[in-house]
Amino acid sequence: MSLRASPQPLVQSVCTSKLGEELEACEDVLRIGGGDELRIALSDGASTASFSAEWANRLAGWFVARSQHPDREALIRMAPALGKGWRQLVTSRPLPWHAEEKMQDGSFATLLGVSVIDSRWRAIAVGDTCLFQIRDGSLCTSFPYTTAEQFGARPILVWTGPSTPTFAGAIREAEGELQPADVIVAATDGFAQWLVANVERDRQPWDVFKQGPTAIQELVNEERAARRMRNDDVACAWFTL
Amino acid sequence: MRGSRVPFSAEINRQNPGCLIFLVDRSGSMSDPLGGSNKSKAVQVADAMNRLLSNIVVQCSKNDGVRDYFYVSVLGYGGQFGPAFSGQLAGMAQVPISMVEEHPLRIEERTKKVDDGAGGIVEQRVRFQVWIDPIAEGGTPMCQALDAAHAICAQWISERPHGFPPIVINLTDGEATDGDPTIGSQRLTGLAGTDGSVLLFNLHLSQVPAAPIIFPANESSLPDAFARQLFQMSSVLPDSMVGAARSLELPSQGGSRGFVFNADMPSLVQFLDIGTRPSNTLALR
Repeated sequence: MSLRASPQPLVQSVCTSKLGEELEACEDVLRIGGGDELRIALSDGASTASFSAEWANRLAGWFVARSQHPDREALIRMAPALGKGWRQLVTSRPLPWHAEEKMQDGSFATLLGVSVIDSRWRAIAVGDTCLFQIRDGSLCTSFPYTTAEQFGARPILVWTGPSTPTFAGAIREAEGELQPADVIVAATDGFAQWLVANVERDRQPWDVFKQGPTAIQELVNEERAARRMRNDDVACAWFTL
Repeated sequence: MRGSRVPFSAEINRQNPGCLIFLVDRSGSMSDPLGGSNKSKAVQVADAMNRLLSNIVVQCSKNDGVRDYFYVSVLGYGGQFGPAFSGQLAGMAQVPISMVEEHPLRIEERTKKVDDGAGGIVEQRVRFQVWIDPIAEGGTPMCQALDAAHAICAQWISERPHGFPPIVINLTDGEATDGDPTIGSQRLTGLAGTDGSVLLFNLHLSQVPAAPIIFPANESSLPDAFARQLFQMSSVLPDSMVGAARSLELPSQGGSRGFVFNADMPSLVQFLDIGTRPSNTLALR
């Protein structure tokens, strides 16, 4: 998939479900939008939570639809209303007892939102979906995680709950400058962990992003099949300035 | 990157489901009351079993229904021995969790006390799925139950040698009448696939009115010989489960055993890797 948010750079992307699962089962969501600013949002719905793809969809959709880059305060302010919308959506039809019981706990998802304007990027993150900035073939920014070890199975995520956001302390923000030929990559945890782990082993995995979505899809399938990458859903977007 | 495999790290999914075996003591001594309670141990075990099954169903609930992340066996041992499901599931030794969900014996309406959000407690009506009824008759053939679990586990491991090892949960008052269950437990936990050996957990419901104990690391606080024997039979919690138990604010440490005394067995499914689980889940309970 490719989308040009003119006059912004061409953003390429891949979304794929776990090996052995249908694409419809993918709980990683990717949205691209924006007017003067390019906006990319990735959200990874917690697979053990209730209707998490729907929650991820709402979070990512909210981020790319804002006219201004949503910062920490905006996310904290809007999360309860977004959660209410999620609850209305999932309760709009009868649910079996187990889905109803699970729904009582709400849902959880990561959020990585990236805005690009002129030659600067700004990002907000909750959880383990990551942004990488590559310059001259080497990693110069890794956000919010910087080591493969940080990727655990239990990150703090954005919650649908109506009360004080339990994730407020886990919100991270960053920004940086872009130079010509810089590559920005945003990826959900399974692929992001693999990328960071390769850098830690002095292997620069970034050349594959010059080859396009098919090459990324093949790489992800191959590495997951060989158990070198966690068998997880993958959403990834990238562009070269 | 997962170049070298850490034990007990295999992900559980529909292609690689987990195996859960519950051994339910239904002997005559289970008609005695639980320590500090007016309910019989048989009723407590049936309630615990039904809550565990219900919790597994909820954990496996997805938008498209209940996914078969687990195959479940419930074996009763007492005056009669064999699969404890009845109704549509009668006689079935191993059932995919989606089928368990489809065929409860009945749905009862019960009340539970919940926080009213204003510092008080209110009673709330809840639907309670019942698959297992309390039964208390005959002796306690625990050795026979462990041998039956061994047969199921051996078959499972031969078919899925790289999957997460089977988990056996024994719910009992601890007094075996057909020999020394330690021998059977050692045979059982000696079975192993590439991801680790069979895990044996024991839930001991005693009429001794001692304080509940969850996942002790040593037997010094246990009140009697039966508790100590079940503790010794219980597997040491793998590191991944110790971490998961801690994140759920359950007491656990290196060396903690899968042994629980006079308390509900925590939902072990929450300790297993069936995908991303947020660490702020506790905040809403």
